[in-house]
Amino acid sequence: MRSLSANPSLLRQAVPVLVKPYKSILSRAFLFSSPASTSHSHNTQFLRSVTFFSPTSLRNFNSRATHLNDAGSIDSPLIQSMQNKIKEQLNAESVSVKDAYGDGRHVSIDVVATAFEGQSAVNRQRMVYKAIWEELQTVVHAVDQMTTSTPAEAAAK
Amino acid sequence: MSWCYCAKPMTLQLPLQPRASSSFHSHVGGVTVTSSTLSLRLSSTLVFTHNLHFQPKLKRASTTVRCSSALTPQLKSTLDQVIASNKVVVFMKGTKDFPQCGFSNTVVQILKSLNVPFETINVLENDLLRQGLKEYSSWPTFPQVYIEGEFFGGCDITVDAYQKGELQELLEKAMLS
Repeated sequence: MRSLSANPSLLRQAVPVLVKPYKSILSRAFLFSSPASTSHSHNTQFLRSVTFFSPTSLRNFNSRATHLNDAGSIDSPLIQSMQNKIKEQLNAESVSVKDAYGDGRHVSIDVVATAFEGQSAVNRQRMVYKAIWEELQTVVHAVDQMTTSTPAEAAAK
Repeated sequence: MSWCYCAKPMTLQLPLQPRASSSFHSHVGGVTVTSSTLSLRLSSTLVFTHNLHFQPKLKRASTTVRCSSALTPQLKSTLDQVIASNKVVVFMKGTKDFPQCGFSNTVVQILKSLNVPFETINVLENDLLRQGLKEYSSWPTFPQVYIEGEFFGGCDITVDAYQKGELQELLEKAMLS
């Protein structure tokens, strides 16, 4: 688990902006921030999204902590969850889900699975989409790139 | 669409609504329905039409799971017709002249460069259409490309086929048929 001290600059920038009611969200969000979020542009984006939280979304956020985050919000556990779903449902040899820009809206997916043998490119992608259909309806804006290979195809690269 | 034509018998799995009146049957039957289906199925069709137009949404949602699906039989029928009526159809964000998404723009540029006539439909104008299409194709993103009545793929599959020359081959065949 990442500690608060891992992001001192983020913490310093955040404190003057946030008020007391949001401290719990801040703590939670910090714990899940990715390395990418330490860059300046992402800090700015992150701070903007935080300042717009309302009491209602505060409750929604807390009550959904163990499930999907609000639409437009993504974190490491969600990436891990998507990877696990794909790996299990397709019995895949390897799965990679990358958050392309650190905002969770665009992801790249790479899957190697024997289950793809004999399947067209469209059907292979459908198999992956089916595994993460829920996330695609709410959180993920676009799948920037997806590769679907059988183990033999992957070995040939 | 304001009228319903059954080219072949439709099996509707909806419970008959008690409130459907005989006068409603005769009115709709006389004006909007042209078919040779059995009367029982005709009644089912009429009842469905009635539900579609007059039932409050909340009641529809509670009546049957099917009604809570974005892909209603009517929408599916409309999509079937649109896709069958054009050699190439792209459901996208924006229009062919004003794409509103990078991926939709990429597909439009490819098709324009190949000089094939194609229709675009803007899913941003109608959220029910947008949600229904996801179910229709089992494909969660846009653009969605259909060629000769078949779902072809999204942006990356279209780009890949274009680079391999497969897209050109397929479109040439489609234009000749």
